[in-house]
Amino acid sequence: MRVYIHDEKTGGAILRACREAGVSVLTPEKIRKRKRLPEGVAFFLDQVDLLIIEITKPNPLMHFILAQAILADKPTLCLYAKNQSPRLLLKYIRKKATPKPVKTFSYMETSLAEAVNHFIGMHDPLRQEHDEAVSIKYTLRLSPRVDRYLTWRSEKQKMNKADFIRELLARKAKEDRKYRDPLME
Amino acid sequence: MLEKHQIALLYAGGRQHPLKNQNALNRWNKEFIELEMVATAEPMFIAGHTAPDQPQILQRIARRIQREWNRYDGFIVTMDYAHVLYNANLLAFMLGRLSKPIVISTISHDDLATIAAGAKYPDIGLKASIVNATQMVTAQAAGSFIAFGSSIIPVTHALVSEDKDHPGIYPASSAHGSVGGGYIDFGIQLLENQHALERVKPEIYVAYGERVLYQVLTAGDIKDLQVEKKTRGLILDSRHISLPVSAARLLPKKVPTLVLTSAAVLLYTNGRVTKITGLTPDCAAAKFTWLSGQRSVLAKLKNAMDQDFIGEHLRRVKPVKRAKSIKKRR
Repeated sequence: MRVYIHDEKTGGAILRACREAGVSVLTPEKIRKRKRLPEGVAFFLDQVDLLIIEITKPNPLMHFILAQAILADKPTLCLYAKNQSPRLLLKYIRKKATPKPVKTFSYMETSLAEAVNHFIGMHDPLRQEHDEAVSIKYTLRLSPRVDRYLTWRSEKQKMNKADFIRELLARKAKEDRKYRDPLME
Repeated sequence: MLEKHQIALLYAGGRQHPLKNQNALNRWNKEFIELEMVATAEPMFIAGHTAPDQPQILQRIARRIQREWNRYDGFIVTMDYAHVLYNANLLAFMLGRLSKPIVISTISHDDLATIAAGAKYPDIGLKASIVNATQMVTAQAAGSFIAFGSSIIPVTHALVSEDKDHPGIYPASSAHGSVGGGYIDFGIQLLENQHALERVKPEIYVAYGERVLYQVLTAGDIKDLQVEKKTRGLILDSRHISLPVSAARLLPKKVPTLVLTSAAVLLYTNGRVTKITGLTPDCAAAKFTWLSGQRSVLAKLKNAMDQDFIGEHLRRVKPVKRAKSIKKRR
């Protein structure tokens, strides 16, 4: 997975978070050093899977990259420092016609890395496969009353109790909008 | 407040479903927030389509650009993909050497694949091309360019690829290195040799050979070729077929004829054939059409094709001043 990072504010915090997440990164510095587009790249956004742009102080280049990302439906995370929202740019991004792949998030120093990690996790296919594997063991104590219900319910649905509990929790996780998208504002 | 450049957006085609008038263009532009993010664009409706047999649309574009020259930092012109390079080159000859950017926008690689599959394409490719084109205005480049994919290519140095696996528009390999333009790589990256002139209004030469016939040949066409008496020039585009050498005998004797093949550009005049070198096929065809409209040039067409009017030659040729070499026909 490859991520373009445009960050003129956090002093490399976004870059560090991406490296910890195990993704390869493309930065403006790397782009400046090369003389041409890589072979086989028809459109510049095809080089990356995601974009992370720090937009607290927008400039024309950020506007341009975001405009193309919106047109291309490219998953993009727009981060801005808390209480320093770039109102005009946010107005463009949040217009009704804007697709959902472009997310905005107001961050503090303590929440930045988690926000980046979560965004990458949402789009990293490798993480999704890992997440589906049943690999974590729980010891769960139940009251006799709950156990009777669990027994009756799992018999009705013709599945074992453990599978019933897993399916119940998975359904809850899917339906919980705030959990699925903590960047939702 | 972010400062944005002022751009004129001249619509002359490019959409699957063409826009029909200024009101429709205004509505389309109002929804185009991505363009609003990067520039202040004034939409101007010219035509629903551009076709090679309608150079009067290009005249309209040229006149409009000249009229609006001082109001904008640059001009973006949308065109249909079919014959885009011929139209773009003809417009470039009409406009002459420029001190601001004129960028042609059209559909994308993905749209070509969609068309090849027999489906309809959305607006996204055209819009992405327009947004890319704004970067030449931001960079304050000068000249006539075409934006395709991530490339911004001088129109006179652009080629259409005949490769079915990689269709599209690409820069011609140039004998004298980079000739301006650039590419988009998370921002505009300009190539060398950008020319910039004193910022003056262009002197346009919109006359063209109104009796020049442009015909795309399919197999067997050459035998059935019928040329009307009033035809003063003929362009035969045979890049998609294999034209036998014997076909030259079937060409009209008294009508200057430019033949575009996949290997060469050949000019037939007064029973003689000259190979035209140093020009892309579409540039040669457009130049032929444009020169045919300028006074006193027809007799010396072969020499005029060798001259450099707008930096169109792929090899180094000393540029001529248009006012001296041709007389303007109003």
